[in-house]
Amino acid sequence: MTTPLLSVDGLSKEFPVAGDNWLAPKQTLRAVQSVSFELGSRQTLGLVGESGCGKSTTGRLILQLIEPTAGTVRFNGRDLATMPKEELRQLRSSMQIIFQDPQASLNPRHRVEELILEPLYAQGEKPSAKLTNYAGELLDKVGLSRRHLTRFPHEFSGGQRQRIGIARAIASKPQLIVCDEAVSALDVSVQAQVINLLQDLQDQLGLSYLFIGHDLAVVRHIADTMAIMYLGRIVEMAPKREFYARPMHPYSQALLGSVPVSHPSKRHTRKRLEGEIPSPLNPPTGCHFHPRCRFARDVCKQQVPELRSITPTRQAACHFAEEIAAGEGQRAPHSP
Amino acid sequence: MTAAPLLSVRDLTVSFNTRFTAVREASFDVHPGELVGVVGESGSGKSVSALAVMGLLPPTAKVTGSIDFEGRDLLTLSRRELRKLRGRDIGIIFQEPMTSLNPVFTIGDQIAEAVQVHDPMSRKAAWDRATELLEKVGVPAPRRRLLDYPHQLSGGLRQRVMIAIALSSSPKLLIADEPTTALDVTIQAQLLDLLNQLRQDFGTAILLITHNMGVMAEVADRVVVMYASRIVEEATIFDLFDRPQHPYTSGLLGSTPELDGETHRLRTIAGTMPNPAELPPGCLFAPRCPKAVAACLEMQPPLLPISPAQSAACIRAPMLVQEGAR
Repeated sequence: MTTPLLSVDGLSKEFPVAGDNWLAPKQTLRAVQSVSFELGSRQTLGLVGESGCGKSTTGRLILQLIEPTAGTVRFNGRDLATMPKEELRQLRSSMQIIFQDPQASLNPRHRVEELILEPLYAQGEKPSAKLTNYAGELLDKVGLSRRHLTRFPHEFSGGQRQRIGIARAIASKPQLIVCDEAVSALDVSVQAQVINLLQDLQDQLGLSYLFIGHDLAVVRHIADTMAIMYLGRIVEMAPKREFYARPMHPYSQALLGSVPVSHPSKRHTRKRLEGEIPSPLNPPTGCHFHPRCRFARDVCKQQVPELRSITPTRQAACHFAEEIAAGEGQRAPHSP
Repeated sequence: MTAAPLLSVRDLTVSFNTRFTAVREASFDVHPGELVGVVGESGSGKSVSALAVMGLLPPTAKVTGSIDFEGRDLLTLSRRELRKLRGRDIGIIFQEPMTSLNPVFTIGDQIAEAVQVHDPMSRKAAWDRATELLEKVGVPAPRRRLLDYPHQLSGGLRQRVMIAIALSSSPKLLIADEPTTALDVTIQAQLLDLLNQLRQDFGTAILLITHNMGVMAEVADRVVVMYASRIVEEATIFDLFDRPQHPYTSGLLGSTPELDGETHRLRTIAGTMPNPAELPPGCLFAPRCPKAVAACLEMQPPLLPISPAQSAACIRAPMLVQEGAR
């Protein structure tokens, strides 16, 4: 078996949070809890969940932008946490990130050329005609043009700014790009352009993406494998096609049921999820999802369901995944 | 529809100075109990149109045309008369509820205030009414929630509070500007269901502004599509999805990612929205339009009826009939 490009094992992150008042004890927010997955070369993992589920924190942990509380991140088989600082710094050019808001992630005082070449300067390269030429090539690749090199970010539309962000991300010839809600802030027609661009670049440059998003319809168009997160835990992982055809975890089903319909004739055909996401500071016992789950029984309140293999290709963290998958999950009477 | 429209907007044009016109010659109706959606991307003029109807544009905006609400032209009303109308007959919900709620007053104070402004009553009665309203918009444990401050609520709950405030005077028209955009999908779905239910229970007409075609598919009866300051198409929701007549509408539908069917490469609309200061001559969409012909560059096509329930501003429109988006 070959080593996967990225291998994440038991990754966890806890943040200390101040109490309700200055006398109250500090609380612990468990943002990410034992997240494990692998990502192969030229593959895209779609990491999906709602606000506060820990998906962005996971992305940052992988890039070592924040330090994990526990767990390991291996890149090409090498543990990033134990790697000497200097080596990690060099390795960073292989791992890049695209943020949601290109407005906030591009320095308004820098020209496009500097912005795009920043990752190379960070690796010690010096400005040169060759690099300027390279920046021009990058702009061509992302659908902008060389004449934009001397402009400032404010002269571009949101979609164009995101293209600049993408050009910067591919400048250092990375193998992995974490796309953190990279298309969420864009208008639909522009969003489609950027998704297509990301796919083209993946083919041309052999990139792997960790595509973090909240919109299942968007992620479906780019991911190979899906991972669904809820309150810090991965609740389901499956190849894309299987996932969308038959989601196994009740939360995945509810999330899919909440995506707006694609045609007015399909109105009112989906199950809605009731209630709101509980506070991650004080998550429900057992399965975090049990208070909102249609299938919840007593065991769900007491035991945390492990993420386990249900079929050779699929994993779900639900005590009753088999039954639910078989369509036998009965609405259990809610005990008082 | 045969009944007189509740809201009738005619030739609405809004400009902010000589160079920038946000809305051009927009005309549309909202009938009692109807949910009309205005859909468009950033800069299409959809929010400015809504603000014009609410009478909330800054004084620097130059507004022409007419906005008839139950036979009265809102543009001729004094600020005072307008303010009376807003909140009583016209309720408003914005995208970001946190900026619309006052952080230093409790939810109960704010709903009760809205109740008392339009219907003088005792504080106790107003709080009772507030409890009722919160219950109606699906807030659990409403009595207890009334004592909370806005920051103690989640985004979804805050938006429900905004809806409760908007409903406090049983308005005939509710204007909702991107009410679910800032929310998670599961909460968005809940709120869309709530809007549908309120419409059934109270017969409130709703003017819903959104950029999301899926949201339209969930709740709208009729849709107005805007592009670069103009209405390019108006149709019933089914006609719009089954037989879009304007290439921009088809493009918008085609670039919306879907959950069903095979994952194909997304269709896109080439190029970007024109700079409002340098609009192209002729049809504003022509430079991006896959169906454009030479004549498109000569004049702006008027919004013309194609069937009794559908109009499009495209000179090629009747020829596109066979070419639905999906």
